[in-house]
This record gives sequence, structure tokens and C-alpha cells, in this order.
Amino acid sequence: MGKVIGIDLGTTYSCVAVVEDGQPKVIPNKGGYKTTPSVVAFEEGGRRLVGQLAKRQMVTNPKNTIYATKRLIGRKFDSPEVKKALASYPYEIFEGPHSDVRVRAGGQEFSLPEIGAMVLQEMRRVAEEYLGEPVKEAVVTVPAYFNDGQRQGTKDAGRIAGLDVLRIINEPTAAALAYGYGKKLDETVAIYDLGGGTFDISVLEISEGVFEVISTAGDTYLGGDDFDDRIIDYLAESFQQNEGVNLRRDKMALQRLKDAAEKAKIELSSALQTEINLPFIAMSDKGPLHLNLSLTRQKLEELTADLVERTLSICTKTLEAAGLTKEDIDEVILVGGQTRMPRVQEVVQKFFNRPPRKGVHPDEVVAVGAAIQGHALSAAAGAGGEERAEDLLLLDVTPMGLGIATFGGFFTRVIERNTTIPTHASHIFTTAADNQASVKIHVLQGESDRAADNELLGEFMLTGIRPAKRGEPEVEVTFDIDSDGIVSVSAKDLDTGQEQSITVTASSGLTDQEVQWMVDASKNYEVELKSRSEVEKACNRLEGLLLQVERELHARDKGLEKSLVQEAQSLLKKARQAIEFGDLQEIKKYTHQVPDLIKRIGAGG
Amino acid sequence: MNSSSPHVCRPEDIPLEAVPIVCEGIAVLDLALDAREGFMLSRLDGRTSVKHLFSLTGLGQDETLKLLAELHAKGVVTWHHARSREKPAAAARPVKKPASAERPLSGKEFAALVEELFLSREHLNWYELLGVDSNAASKAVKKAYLQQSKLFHPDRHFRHADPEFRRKLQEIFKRINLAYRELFDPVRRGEYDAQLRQEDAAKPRLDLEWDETVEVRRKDRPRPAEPPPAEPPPGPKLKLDFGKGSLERRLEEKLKEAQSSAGAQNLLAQARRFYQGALVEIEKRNLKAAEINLKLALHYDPQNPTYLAETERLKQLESTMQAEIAFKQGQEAEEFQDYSKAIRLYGEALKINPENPQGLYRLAKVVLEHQHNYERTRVLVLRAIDLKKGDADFHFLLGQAYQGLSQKQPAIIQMEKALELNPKHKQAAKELKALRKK
Repeated sequence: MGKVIGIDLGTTYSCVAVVEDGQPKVIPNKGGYKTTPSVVAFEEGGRRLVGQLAKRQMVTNPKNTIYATKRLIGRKFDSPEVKKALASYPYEIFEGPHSDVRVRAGGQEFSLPEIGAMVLQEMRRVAEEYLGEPVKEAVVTVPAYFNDGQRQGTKDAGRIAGLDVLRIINEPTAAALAYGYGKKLDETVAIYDLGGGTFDISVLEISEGVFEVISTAGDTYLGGDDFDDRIIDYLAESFQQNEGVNLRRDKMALQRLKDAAEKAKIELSSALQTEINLPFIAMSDKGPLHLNLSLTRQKLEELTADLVERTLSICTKTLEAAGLTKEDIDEVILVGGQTRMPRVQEVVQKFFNRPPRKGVHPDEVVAVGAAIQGHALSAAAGAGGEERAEDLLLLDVTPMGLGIATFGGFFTRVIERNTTIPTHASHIFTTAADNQASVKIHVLQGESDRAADNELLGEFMLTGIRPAKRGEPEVEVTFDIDSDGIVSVSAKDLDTGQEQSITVTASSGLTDQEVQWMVDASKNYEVELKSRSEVEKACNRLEGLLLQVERELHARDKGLEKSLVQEAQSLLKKARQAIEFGDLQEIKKYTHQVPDLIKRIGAGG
Repeated sequence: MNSSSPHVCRPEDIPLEAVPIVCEGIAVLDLALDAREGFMLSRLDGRTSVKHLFSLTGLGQDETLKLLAELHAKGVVTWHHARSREKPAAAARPVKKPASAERPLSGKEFAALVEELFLSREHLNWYELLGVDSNAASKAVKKAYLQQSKLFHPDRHFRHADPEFRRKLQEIFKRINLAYRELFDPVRRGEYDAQLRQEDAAKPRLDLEWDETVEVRRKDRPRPAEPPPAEPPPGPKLKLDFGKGSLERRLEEKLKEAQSSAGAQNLLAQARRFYQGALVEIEKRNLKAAEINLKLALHYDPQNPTYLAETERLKQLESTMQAEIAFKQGQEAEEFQDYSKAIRLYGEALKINPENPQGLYRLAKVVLEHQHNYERTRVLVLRAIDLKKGDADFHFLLGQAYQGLSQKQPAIIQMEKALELNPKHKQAAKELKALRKK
């Protein structure tokens, strides 16, 4: 059995890690970086770029550069989050066949799991190059507050990338695993995870190698990108005031603003003031315009104060749900790049009344935790075995309540949020009308008491209910969540024994069939990639030979027979054509013929 | 084993802390032993030290040592020193030492335990499931939960090849999960305790071998009050199912309508005769003959619900008889001291008829005495008690299991219960005395 890798599939950056000889290790990519941008781009000729290369050409190719898809994966096209993205993202977003979100780039259409798969594939390649062996299995992380659809979307991405995703785990939980791994701890920790796109807070109790999640909450649309957006808004507005030009209309200018905003934000984590210089950002009647502004740390804190405040109010709620006070927390761990901002560290320290734990790498810790969980699963000794250091157990929870829609548009929870999984629970419901013969079960996930405000996971009918007065029939609805977080729901008429059930899946917006197609397409791409590099090599070789022919011809220009020169000329033309078309068969044929020609030219002189 | 070259040893040389065990591979029935030696041999469980045997046998120090020396000289008994230290030390240890830490279970033993727990998961109350006594503080409840999670969480057996095994673990863990949630929350625990008290006050349940009662209960609540058939509990939530009965009646009427012609009447009479024959054969326990008679009856009257039901009943009867046979063979094996065979046969019997308290008890006893798998014993006896209340021996065995698990307080409670049910239970009295002394 090969190694199981852990992948932190982030909104802006991704990271991969593995456990070797009991030691977790973050794997650097070819460029030597431990994180890889979660960016996919398509060049003019349809060539696909992933990671650093894709990010680098972002400014010049904004329409065909896809980023931050994690903020959209598993969401419905008409959701407010997607509306917001439509307004601010330079690439094309449109509605898919299942009211899901699709993107168009390089003349092709992609579902979001496909884009995710391209990033996962890149991370897999990074790991394979390091390990020198194929990798088939992975644990992938998601924000704790991802709902079922978003998790399913991530799972699909893994499948399309040809990975067997052993488990999807929550990012803050992974961070806790990385923090507690190999230590004999008995404490309660809070993980404050402010990443590129999402915010999560989780409280865990760690003791005797068991990591028990007590409570978790978050906001899947609150992260470093939103901090960047505030700076972009500020810059764009200032520019409009000063120069009267709206930079937001120009995709390329917007992309430059985005780059500059991120850079300024990072600089302000160590400096108190920074200059933003973007020459030739726009044109006016009077000539080129330049953006030249300075930004102070204080101004940035002012611009983003409400965002930071939002994270704290979620922290308060989480502690309440856990039945804990701030004093019960033994350690606070910061995860995610945005926690580098001094202001964030200050408010967290003030909130929890203790300095955050140092020595946990905010960008790498999640991938490390995923690798640890992968290792623990694959090395599970079972009963009877000797207890080992890596024998840890993660008791994770369901982040949102699950239940059904009831009469009057209400949402009745059957499984409360923060329930340890796997679990099951049932609840007895009844009919709302006299002689009602069937009930429709709407399976919902969320925290609102109004059914309509929650995520619909699936629906089914239970028919054949005996005619009776309303309130008399008893329908038992049972929810079941397995250790993979897969939800199944059954409804049973206790009177007649009639039963109906569904397994809630395929809510990522893709059907099983579609995922299969994408898996095939992705495999084809891999094969194509391989054969393309083969063609390239053959072309280079032939080209070298042809150059040699040309040199020989030139050197012995006069002394050659006319027929031989003609033969050489026509061969050169045909061979160049073959190179242009990339016809491997033809290229090989000419590669075979040319050496003989060179010999004859040499002899002719 | 040193049985091949026994050396004579004097009674006073026997170490009092040592644990005498019967040598392996001895055919006890072939030995020339007198009744007193036989009795002594029957007391050796590979667990009790020499010192404890004085009181356990009631023979006193001198006599016990003398008999042991004789048995040792005959090459039947040897000493086990390793355990001798463990026994007294165990009492000094904190009460809540988890079962798993005492001795890691082998893969087979664990599989058997999983099987047991899976079958009994709905019968165990939350306390029994977590293995804590009803006074346990919430800290102890949590600790037990973490221990049980480490053992039974499906992730700990992620690469186990058998999906069925993993499914069973999943079901077990879901129950453990529920148990923890109910017991850790003081409010919910209070409610649950009240519910348990009510159930304890209810009459012990009858042995329902043939009864097809329909249970109406909330799935996530274990062991609700089993209503005695005569007085169904009040409240609109409980409705017994009469749907099937009326369906049968309707079917019968329809059949009668359809077969009202004279020729058909003849066939029906024929069928009835075979049916009567079948009943006689069942009475005589000639199940094969009964089966043939029933088949013939159904040949003439294929849809007759009575005959079909009787066929069903016959099938059950057959498996019950198989269970009885396996059980008897198990007892024989036990007599011949082939304990692993006995355990296997009892297990087979219980697979066919899992609701047999006596069978559970026998299996539990062998598992305790010869495998020292106290956790499995505990689960088995708990199920037996759940099925048949008020047996002093059951509680005594449970007490022994807790002793084995080094849980003193629960052990005392069980011994007391045994004595309460049968004040003349000598062993329980003795163990209780010993337990209290420690």
C-alpha cells in the first residue's frame, strides 16, 4: 500500500504533506515553495497552467485565469455569494445544467470540481516527484463550516483527479491534529482559522490521543480575499476621485489592483506604511495615468475592522455552544495566512485573554494534520495491537443541524449541530391534514428555523399512509450519518410498516455520470500530456538534424549535384511541415531518413 | 510443560501467592483421582491464588496445600507465578482501570466481543454500554467513553477487510456515542435515570419463545419498559399492530370464496388431513416427518395461511432444536474440559437463538473461567440479565467479571444483588466479604 498524502486545498494556496517514519513533512514543489497557488490558467493554444506559472501570467491573461473557485464550489448559481463573484471576478462564470456554477476559460467550459481536480492533480504530482512512487490515496481538508454540497464537490474533485479520498476532514481539526500529534496532551484548544477565503473556529478537547471536537462554527465567505477587496475598493475609489476613471471596468487594471492590494496587505504586517505604485494603469485624453498612493497600517485596520469583529462574534457563539468560557481554553492556535495581520493577533489575544500559541506554521499546519489523519487511518492497528504514538483517534462532529421541513415552513432538527459522527437519531412526525395519504420529506441542513433559509439536501415521498385524522398517523424519520459524513434518511409509517429512504449524495451539482466523464477526460489529459511531451522531444531531435542538413548544404553549396540539392530542399520542406503538424509518425520517418541524406551530401563534396 | 517430570514437593513448599493451574493436555478423566482431589481440581480456574483457595474451597490451609501437593506430584497441577503478583496488586489499583489496558485482546477475541456487542447493543442500558456504574461521576463517564471510542470507533479498523465487521463497529459506536451524550449531560442523565428506575419497578419479563409481539419504541432509546402482554402501557404512542391479522382473515375469506366448488372441497379436506398429521409429528418431535406432511398439505391447498404459518413455525422449531443440540454438545465439551470447543458450540447455539439467557450465562461462565475475557463476559451476562431478571448466579458472575476488570465498586454491587436474590449464595457471600476487606 502506497503512502497517504494530506492536501490542504486552499482558496488561494494549496499545500501537501506526508508522514514518513512517523514524522510529518510538508513537501515543497519544483520551485522550492511549500505552498502552491490554487490557480489554473489556459494559454492561447489551450495549454493548461497550474500553480505558480498560472499566477504569474494572471495580469496579462485575466479572462483565462481561474482562481478562488473554493468560494463557489458546491454553491447554487443564484446564491448571493455567486452573485458577488460575478461582479468582481474577471473570468466568465455561468449557470450549469443543475443550477450549479460553471466557468469558461481557454474556449472550454469547466465545472468547479474539475478546476479543483486540476489543483489536486498538481499537488499529487508534487508528492509523487518527492516520494518517487505513485500516490493513490489522500485526505483532503475543507473549512469546518462547509455544508454537505460543498464537501461533496470537494470529494468529486478528488475523484476526478484520480485520487481515492479516504476522508474529508475539517481544516481547524487538522490543525489541532498537527498541533497535538506525538505530544501527550490533556487540554482544551481553540483553533482560530482565518484563511484566504473562509473563517472557522473550532474547540477541541485533546486527551489520551483522542481529539474530540466539542464545537465548531464559521463563515465560508470571510477570509483574506475580503481584506484584499477592501484595499481594492479603497484604491479604486481614491483613483476615481483623483482622476475620474473607474479602474473596476478594466479587467487588466483590476487584476493589477488585486496584486498590489495583496502585496500591500502583506507588507503592512511588518511595516507601518507602504507605497502603492502602479504606473500606466489607465489611459485618459491627456495621456497615461499612474496610480500612486500610500497606505498606513492604521488605515488598513480601519478598512477591515468590521471583518475582524465578525470573526469574534462567531467565536463567542462557538464557546457558548460548547458550554465553555474563555477561561476553559488552555491554548489558542492561529491558522491561515490572514492571522499574520498584527491586528488579528491582537484582538484574538484580547478575546481569549492569552497569547496565541507560537510555533505552529499557519500555512502548513492544515496539510500536516491531513497527512497525520491519513497515516492514522491507513495504519489503524485495530484492537489488540500495542498502543503506538501515531494511534490517534479523531472524533469529529457535524457542523450544521440536520432535519426536515415541517408544516408552516419550519425546520425541525433531528440531529443537532456539533453531534459526534457517526451517529443516528430519529424523531416521530405526524400528518398535518385529515386523510393525508402521503408525506413529502424535505431533508435540510442549516441553522435557521425557517426551512427556506436552509440548504436542501434531498427530498422523497412516503406514500400509503392509512386514512386517519390529522395528527394520528405516526411517521418515524431516522437520520444516519456515517463516518464519512454521508447522510441517509429513512421515513417509516409506524402504523403500516411502510418505509422509504434515500442516501443524500450528488448534491455537489454534478451527477454521477458527469463525474465519470470528467474522470475520463482528466485521464485523457494526463495521457495527452505525456504524448505531447513525446512529440516535443521528437520535434526537437528532427529540427536539430534539419539544421545540420542546412549547414552542410550551405558549406558545400557549389560542388553538389543539382538533383541532390533539390532532394534535400524538398525533404526539408516536408519535414518542417510534419513538425508543424506535430505528426509523430511522419516526424519519426524523416528522423530516420535524414542521417542518410547528410552522409550523401558529405560524400558529394 | 513440566508435567512430564513432576518432582515431589512438600505442602509447606508451595508459595501462597502462586496460582495453581491445570497442566495442558491432561485427560483428566483418565487419571486416578479421588473425590477430594477431583473437587480441588474443579476449583482451579487459573486465576485464584493458593491463598485464596483456602477459603474458596472451604478446606482450610493444611488440607488445601496437601491436596495441591498431591496433584502436583501426579503431574496434573503446576504453578503460575506471573499472575500471582497481578491479583493482589489489582485491588490496590484505581477502580477505573480500563479493560483494554489489563490485557490487550487478540484479534479473535475482539471479533467475538464485537459480535456480542452488536447483538446486544439495543439491550444494554447506557451505563452498561459504557461500562460505568450508575453513580459514576461525569469525568469517569467521559473517560470510559474515550476508552470505548478507542476500541470501537470504525476509524481504528479502517483497513479491516470485512465491510460487515466495519458496519457492525459503526453501529456499536453510534450507540456508545448516544450513551455518552445522554450520560454526560446532567439534565438528560437525570431523565434517563428516572426512566430506568421506572423500568426496574416493572415486572420481570416472561420468556417469549413463540410470541411475536410487535415492539413500538423510539429507536434511540434502549430498553424501554417491556410491557407485560396483559397490561399495555397507557398513552397514544403505543399501538399494537393488528394489520397483519386482519389481512390474514381477508385472505382466508377470499380463498374460501374461490374454492367453494365441490372438487376443491375434496382437496381441502385432503390438505387438512395432512396438516393434522403434521401437528401430531411435531408433537412427537419428528420434524422431518412433520415437514413432509406440511409440504403435502400445502400441495393441495397452496395459499392456506395456517399451513404457511405452521411451516414458518416448523422452520423456527428446527433451528431451535439445532440450537438445543449445539448447546448440549457445548455442555458435553465443557464436561470434557474442551473449553474452546464449548465456547464455539455455545456461540453457535446463541447465533440461532440469541434470546436464550441460560445459554448466554453458560457461555459467559466459560469465557470468564477459561479465557479470562472479562469484558466479553460482562457483555454476555448483562444481556442474560436483561432477558431474565432475578437470577442470583447471573449477578454473581457479573460481579466476578467486574472483579476481573478490577472494578471493585460495581463488583460489590453485583455480589450484593446476588445475595439479595439468594441469601444462601455462599460464593457470593464469600467474595463480597473479601471485596469489602480490600
